[in-house]
Amino acid sequence: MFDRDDTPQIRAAWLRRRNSPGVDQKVVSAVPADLANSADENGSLVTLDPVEWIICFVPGLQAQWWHRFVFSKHKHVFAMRPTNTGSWILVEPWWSRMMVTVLPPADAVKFLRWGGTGDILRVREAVPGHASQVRGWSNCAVLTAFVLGRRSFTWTPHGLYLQLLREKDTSRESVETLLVEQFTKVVSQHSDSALAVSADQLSLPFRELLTIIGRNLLEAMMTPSLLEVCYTAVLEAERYPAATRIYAEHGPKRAIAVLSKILEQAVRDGHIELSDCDAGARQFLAMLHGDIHLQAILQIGDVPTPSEIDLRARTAVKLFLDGMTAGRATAPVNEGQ
Amino acid sequence: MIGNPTNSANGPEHRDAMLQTLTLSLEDPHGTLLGLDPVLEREGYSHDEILSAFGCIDDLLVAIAERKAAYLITPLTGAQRIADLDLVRRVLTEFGTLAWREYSSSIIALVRLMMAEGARSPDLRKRVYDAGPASVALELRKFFSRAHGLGVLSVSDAHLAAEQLMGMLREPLYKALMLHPAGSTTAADAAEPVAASIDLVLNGCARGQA
Repeated sequence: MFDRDDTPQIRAAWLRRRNSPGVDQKVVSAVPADLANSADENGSLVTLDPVEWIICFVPGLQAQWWHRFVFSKHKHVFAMRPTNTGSWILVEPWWSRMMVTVLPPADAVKFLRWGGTGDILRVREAVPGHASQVRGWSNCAVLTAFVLGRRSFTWTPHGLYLQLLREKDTSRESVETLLVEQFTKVVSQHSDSALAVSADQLSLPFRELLTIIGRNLLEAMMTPSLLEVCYTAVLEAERYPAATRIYAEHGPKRAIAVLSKILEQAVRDGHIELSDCDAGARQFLAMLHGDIHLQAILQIGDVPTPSEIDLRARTAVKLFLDGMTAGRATAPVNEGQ
Repeated sequence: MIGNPTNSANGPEHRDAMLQTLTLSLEDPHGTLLGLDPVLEREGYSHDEILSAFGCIDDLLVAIAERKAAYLITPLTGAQRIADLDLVRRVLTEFGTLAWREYSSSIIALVRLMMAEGARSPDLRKRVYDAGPASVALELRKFFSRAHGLGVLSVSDAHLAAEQLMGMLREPLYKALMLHPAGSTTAADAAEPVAASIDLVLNGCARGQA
């Protein structure tokens, strides 16, 4: 698992730093004392746990004269790492620069697919590391070894690949597995947050409770990071169907399941009459989707403001409950507590 | 802009025939995530033929979206007099059945093509959306407004009511795009879900509900 941003580890790192301030270290006069004194045992201002990198060993995208001298599938190497928001950090050594950037998921998949044409390894970085700056020629293999903090004597991507593969903690990865892992994490986070109902909220009138859930769901589904994951899930459905399925299971299917349970409870409590709560849940979610979700996935139209989201949630709840009530043609529904 | 072919082989009839063939071909959405090339290939058209007839690939997709929208809104625009709730129900049921079938087949392909080809041409998605889904939603909104104006329905916000009905009719599209991406995308029986969606909206918009 990628644990770079997990709260317990951040907390542990924080406590470690506070418990061992570097007060004995020599202070440089030009640097404020508070900064100098907050350096950790490695001389770093921040103490971070070692993280896992996805190292992609790839064939060239375009033919180069020197390709004949290196292993066919490993002519280049770069490093990637997923974030908690669906984007990926890319560190790619070029001939002329080091490209360090954050990619949205759809663009990250392009690099991962490139990685899939060669080999993909999951490697934990070494902190403070054992690499050396006096290696000389800094090609992609040398710089990637440096990112990982590895002592390395190879100048070829394939040499680095063999070296890393010998480490017991290194594992091979596939693009689909990586996407499944990341989609699970990102979509679950949003679903957990959108579908959480507090005890106080459960005691609200049903119409109000449904409005809160509708608003939370709309806010979650219109979150840029989730929209980007959704876009990628749709776009990559034929190549990586497992990743798209995971998106559906942790996103819309889970929302339908939770909504269905809430509607079932409302039926049991006599607030509404509904014969098929699952179908009702799907209808309600579809009403929330309206037109804006498809527009947002297609990256056209404006992101709705909080007041627009509130209006949409309220009108969807009104149409849903009024439609159900009028359809029954019986006594008015008790939507009380 | 639509291309302006000059010779008879690329004349309006030939263009219409190509449009008809390619629109029908989208009934099978497989392969459309890779772009338009697999569709052109299976129908035996070259890029040059498309460019000659339509000017560019983008214009072809816009023309397909316009054609689909014109077909979908036929029941809405054909309703001259909105006399009572029964007529509203009949019109919406006819519209909803057409929409459900299209959202189960060719519009899945169109949306996937918008995404696949949209990476190449940033304006494409908006152009196709405006020509297709947006114009359908607009016509539905006008229909609700007319029904409200004539006192048949009580629709406080025709725009949102139209969106919410469209959202429900798009269920097969969402299923195909996200829930069963690798499964077959046959048009399921539309009658029951379409009737349920229209009942919900009409009951919610019955006179006295607003």
